[in-house]
Amino acid sequence: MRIIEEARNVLENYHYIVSSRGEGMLQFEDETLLGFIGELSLESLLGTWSRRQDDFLRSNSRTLGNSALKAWNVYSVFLSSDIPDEAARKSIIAIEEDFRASRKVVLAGVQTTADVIRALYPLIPIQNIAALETSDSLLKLQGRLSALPLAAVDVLLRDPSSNESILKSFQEAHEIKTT
Amino acid sequence: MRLKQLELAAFRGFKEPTTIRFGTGFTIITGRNGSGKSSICDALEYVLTRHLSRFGPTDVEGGERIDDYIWWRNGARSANRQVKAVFDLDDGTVGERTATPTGIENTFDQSLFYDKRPQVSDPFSLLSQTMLIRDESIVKFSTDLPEADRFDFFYRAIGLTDLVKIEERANTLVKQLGRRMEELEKDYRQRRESVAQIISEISEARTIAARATAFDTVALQQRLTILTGLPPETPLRQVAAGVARTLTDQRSRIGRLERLSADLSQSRSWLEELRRFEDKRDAVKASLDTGESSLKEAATLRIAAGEALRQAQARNLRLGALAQLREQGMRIGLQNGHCPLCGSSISSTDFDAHLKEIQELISAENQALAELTAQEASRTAEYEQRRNEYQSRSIEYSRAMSDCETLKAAMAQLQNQALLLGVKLEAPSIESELLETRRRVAELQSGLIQLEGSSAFDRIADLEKQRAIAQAEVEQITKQIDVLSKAAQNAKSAADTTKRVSWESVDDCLAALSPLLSELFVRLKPHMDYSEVRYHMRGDVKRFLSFEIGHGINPRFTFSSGQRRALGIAFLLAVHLSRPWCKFPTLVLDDPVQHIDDYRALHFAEVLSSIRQLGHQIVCTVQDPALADLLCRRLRSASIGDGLRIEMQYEAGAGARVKDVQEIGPLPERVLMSA
Repeated sequence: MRIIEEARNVLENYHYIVSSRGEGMLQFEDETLLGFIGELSLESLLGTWSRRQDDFLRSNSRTLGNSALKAWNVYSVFLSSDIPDEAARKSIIAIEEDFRASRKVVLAGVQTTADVIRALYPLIPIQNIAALETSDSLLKLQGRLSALPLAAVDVLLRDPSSNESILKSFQEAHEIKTT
Repeated sequence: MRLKQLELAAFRGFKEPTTIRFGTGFTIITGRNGSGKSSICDALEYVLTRHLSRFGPTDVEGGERIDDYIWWRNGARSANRQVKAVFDLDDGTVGERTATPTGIENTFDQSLFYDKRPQVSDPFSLLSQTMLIRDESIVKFSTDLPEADRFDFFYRAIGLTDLVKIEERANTLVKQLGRRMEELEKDYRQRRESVAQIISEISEARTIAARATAFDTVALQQRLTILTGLPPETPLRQVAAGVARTLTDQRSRIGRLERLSADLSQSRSWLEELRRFEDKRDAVKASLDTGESSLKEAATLRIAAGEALRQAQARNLRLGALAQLREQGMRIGLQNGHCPLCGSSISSTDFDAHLKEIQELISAENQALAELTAQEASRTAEYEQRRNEYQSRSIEYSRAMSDCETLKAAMAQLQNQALLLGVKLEAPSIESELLETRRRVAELQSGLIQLEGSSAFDRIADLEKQRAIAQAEVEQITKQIDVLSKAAQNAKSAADTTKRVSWESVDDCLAALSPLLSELFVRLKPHMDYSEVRYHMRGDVKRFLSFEIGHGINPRFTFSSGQRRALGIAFLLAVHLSRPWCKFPTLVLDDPVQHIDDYRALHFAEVLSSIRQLGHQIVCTVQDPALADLLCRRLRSASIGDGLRIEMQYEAGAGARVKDVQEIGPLPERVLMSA
């Protein structure tokens, strides 16, 4: 899997304007956000992230200066397929917690499209919207209660006026079946 | 459907009528403590539910509760107290919902807020609870909440409350049917005892009926009325009663006759005994008479002896003086031939002879007195003996007389008994009467059996009817028990099934929700070492929902307060985004980022942005103006709705007011240069 291509697909899918900034590098922009993505070795990532950020900002300094508000929404995204050790992991956390100039998103050990999407969460809408369909619960329950008289099931499922009335109706439902 | 504006009048911190507009995309409200931010959120909840859930029913102080503080109460009470929410409806029209102290009015179909299927009980409370995320709910419904309450919240939020009600209903039915079964079983036992009793009575009646033979009713009636002494026209039923009475009398008569016969037989020996008693009485009488004569004779002798003794005793007194004179004479002796006592001239020989004579006289008298004393004692003893003998014979005589009288009285009683029974006191007469009485008894007995046999058929018929009725009742109860048994079994089965289905539904929903919760957890990054969160459900009677990070790590005891809040926000947002029944997707957050650091606040802003990109309208209050600015920069997006930044302020005496409203326009569409 080519990380940078997957990242391009993901961003374009959410209507970002994406263009290449050279080998392993993309830049992107939408109505609110902008920034760049770099696919790097872990070593390169940890060693060059700051310079790469500065390069990106410098190359767009004129237009960013004209749009001061949007300049707040700059993202520097660094992705690497290399698996980080503990020291690298701490370095990555430190990079992400550095608020200077841009919001940094760093993910190492990127192996799958899901990893890419996960890395780009700050840029894209909620992904896993749950469709909690509970409307079939009553249908499922009705199906499970098929051995009961229909009228009895109806009594159980509808809102009763009182415990006494439901008792009477439930009992009558069984009387109907047995007669 | 989107929130367009809120109009508040004398509500909570707002004294003056105030309108709060909302951006179609987002609204960020900022302001210091007490500037009215939370009152706006309260207003939104109140206009939906007329209730503020962040104050529980137990929040009472000095007898006051939140209901006393819904409306502005500093100074005169405003006549116009209301909260009005204006909504942009999907059809392009505008709808209004107004809450006042007296109620809620809605100008549009309420079902636009939520889907009718599945029906959500108390939908507005649930809508409000899952739409409005505030500090209290983050704490209450996140990891700080007991697992059971968290489960209940989730259960309600996904609209499964009907299953809970159905399960409760089924369980109530099980209990009610159980009680009804017990009552019916008791009733059944009583009815069965009644049937058994009737069957027993029928059996007895049949036995009686079996003894009855065909008979001439008229002849029987005539004969029985004669035997019983009843008038000839007496009805058979009364005749039966008369026969029963007569039978009792005649059986008593037989007993008395038998006793009379036995007594008569025994009375033969009584006569001999009487003669013996009389002989004895006469002998005792003769002996008594002899004894009486002897007693009298002894008394006479005793009296005579007593008299002789008294005379001797009198003489003896005189002899005492004589003995003293003699003693004097002997001591003095003859004085010159003269007696010293009488002075007469006497010889010594004569004087001595006289003294000797006196001595002899005294001795003789003493002898006689001793003899008379002994005789008197003897006579007295003999008298006492005879008197005792007499008394003893008198008693013996009295007894003999009594025995004779007793026997005579017994014989007189026999005679009287015979007279009463109308027989002679003779064995043949008594035996004859006994035979006759026994024959009458047999005849009466036979007649009674005939009569009872006749009535037994009627009684059997009556009893059979009773039995049929009682048996029908038993059958009816048995059927009812069968019905109830089946119903109870089905109710139990329904309760178990409902529990299973609800459990499965919750599990399904949680499984479906899990990726979203995980995504939100990753996006919010509450902890650098834990990037996964899982849920666990357990419990049978009471159900629990808990979270786990890492392997078996409970975040409740691992995360800091801010981290727990981040997890709580993730959970509440996941629920908010997953409500299948909700058609009003506005998300309202009341100062949700307390205790959260800048790094995680940025993540939070990104999460809100990612929710905005779904098209949800977002209203968020924050205290920090810088955070408000950050949110405005991140949430803005012209194509999916405009934004507003509202700054609130509290003015002394005038309450909360809007200080500033800023339209958040779109950012420049293109900034980056082509590479």
